Amino acid sequence: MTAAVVLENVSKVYRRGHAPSFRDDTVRAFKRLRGSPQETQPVVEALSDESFEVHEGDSFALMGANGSGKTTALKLISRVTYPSAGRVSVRGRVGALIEVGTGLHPELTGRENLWLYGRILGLSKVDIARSFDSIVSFADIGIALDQPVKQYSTGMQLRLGFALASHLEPDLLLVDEAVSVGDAGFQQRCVERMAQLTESGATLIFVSHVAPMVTALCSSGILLRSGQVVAEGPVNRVVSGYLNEMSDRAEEDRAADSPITLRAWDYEHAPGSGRSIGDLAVLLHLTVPTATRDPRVGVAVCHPRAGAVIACSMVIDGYSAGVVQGNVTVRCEMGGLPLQPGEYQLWASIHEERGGQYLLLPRLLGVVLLGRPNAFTARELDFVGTSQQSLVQVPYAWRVISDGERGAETLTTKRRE
Amino acid sequence: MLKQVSPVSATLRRELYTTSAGRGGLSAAALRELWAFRDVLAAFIVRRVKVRYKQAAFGVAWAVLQPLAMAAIFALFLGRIAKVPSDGAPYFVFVFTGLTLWAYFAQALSAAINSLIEESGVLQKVYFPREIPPLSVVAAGLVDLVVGIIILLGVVLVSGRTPNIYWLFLPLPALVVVVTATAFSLVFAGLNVYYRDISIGLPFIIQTGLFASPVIYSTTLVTPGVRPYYEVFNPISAGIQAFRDVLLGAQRPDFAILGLATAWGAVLLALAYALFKMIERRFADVV
Repeated sequence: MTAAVVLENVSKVYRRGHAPSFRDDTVRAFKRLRGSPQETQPVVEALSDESFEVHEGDSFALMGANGSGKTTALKLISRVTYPSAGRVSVRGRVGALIEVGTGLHPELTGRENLWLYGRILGLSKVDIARSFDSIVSFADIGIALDQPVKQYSTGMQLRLGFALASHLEPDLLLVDEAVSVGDAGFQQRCVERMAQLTESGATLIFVSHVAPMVTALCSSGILLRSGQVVAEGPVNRVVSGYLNEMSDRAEEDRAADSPITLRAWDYEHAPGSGRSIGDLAVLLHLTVPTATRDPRVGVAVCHPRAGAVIACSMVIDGYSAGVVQGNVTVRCEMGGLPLQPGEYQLWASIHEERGGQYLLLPRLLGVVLLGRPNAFTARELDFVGTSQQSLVQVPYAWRVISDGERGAETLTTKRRE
Repeated sequence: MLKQVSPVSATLRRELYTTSAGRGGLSAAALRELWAFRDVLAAFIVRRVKVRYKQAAFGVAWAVLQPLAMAAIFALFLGRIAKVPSDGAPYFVFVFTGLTLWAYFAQALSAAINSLIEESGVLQKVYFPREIPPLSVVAAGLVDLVVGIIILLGVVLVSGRTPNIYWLFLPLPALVVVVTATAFSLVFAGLNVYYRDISIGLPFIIQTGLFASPVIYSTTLVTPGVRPYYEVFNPISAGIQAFRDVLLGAQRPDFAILGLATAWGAVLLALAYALFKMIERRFADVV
């Protein structure tokens, strides 16, 4: 396989602090001439000595917390900025959507931008003319096409920017999290377009914080943390690494001064067949310092928007664990969750025997991906948010009954109205 | 709803681009790349010309009126009152010849210095050779220069001079001025990305340049021994002097001086371009 992008021992260092000033730089130059010791300038290392490769036709995910170096990597690949050390090689034409506006020029109209951007990508007039209609219909911004881009809303800029970057025959498409500025319908079209491009042989590098979107689109990727690659390989590994990192951070933010401490947690998941997510077991490894009678444990599965969708609580069901002390493990088994596959939060809390005081404050254990990721399609993902899908899935069947057959009362009634 | 993906045109190879750490600078690769992006340069130039003549109410008139008004003022104060010698020609025609070339240089430089900062949004998101914005300014200014020279020829004719064969040489001194303007524009546009105070100092620099070039005075005022150096090392003065030789003196321009000035202008341009390619590497980071 040919590589579309190769980064070899790439570092990128930014000067920190105020903008360069002529006076400071002159003083520094004189000091250097005189050989006097120089104070070193504070710098930020956005990428440090990293190497990775993206093959042609791959759809590659770049994940990581804010400030981990994702955008810097995109800028290096799109040649906007140069590496401080190392080498970046890119094969083919790069279409990039970095920070909403792509390379839109605010003073030019949408139409003029279209031509200019096409030329910058090295396309001939004929090539641009051929893509023109599909860009205009994809961007769907109507008469705004002939208005200067500076009058556009963020959403319109995004539409035009993505349409340009993805329709001018790029060999390599770079898309960052800006896509999430768009409305649900547009996001879905973006996902479809990106999938279409990779199917036709183009390479995609996708930056996003939306785990299901990444899982649906990408096959492999890397996870960055403070400028370093901490995980790479199949997309599932990268995504779960990312989700764990996020929940670890949330954990650190919480001062743990509850009487019972949570040492560790784990989950076991057997994906179900079809559209539901199957069975789930959550394990809590607890330390109980003093003998406690009937701690009431609660475990909840929450959806990012819908809130708690499954709650298992000893307070409600009255399960009695007796007197516990020392290290104990609580296992909560949930069978046949009728939920659609996706990203869910696991929460845990412990109440005292009568359900009044907390022994362990409610806390987010982590965000897990439930269901078989491979069974996802763009339409099934929760960010699409159309009326065609629901959070809860139950077994159902259809019957279509024609007029004249037995049991056609409903239709007859309707006609009488 | 979605159109089929158009196939990647077979005519376009998937070229391999490599960027690596290093100083950058003048290279054959940089020039080849500029050539490859000539369409983009053309698009930038067309846009500049359009914007210039769409926005300004007077359009071309501005380019013409400004040097004419300046020449009138200089003719009144320096020609009439101070009686500055003008090589035997009417002072107004004399100073207008200098101003036509000088106005091009000054306007190109003042527009070019902010050309990269104006494009900062695009610079941070798309790659194209960074010299394109300043180069497009210098090139777009050529429209004004050509219009200015046509007006100048009209003024010269009105003042009673007849066209002569040497008029055909005029593009050469004009080229010297354009090359010099390009060199200065590249350097100032590039440095201004790093040090914004440079654009504040520019009016002073331009004013100094006006007096360092023979716009309002004649090169004959320069000490004879120094004059050749003055004309070569300030290519603008060689250009202005050649224009005056041809238009006012109806004589052959001094090709030796003009040739040397062109060569020196080319050296300046090469140095400026090399410096630009060195400092462009961090444009996107600091702009």
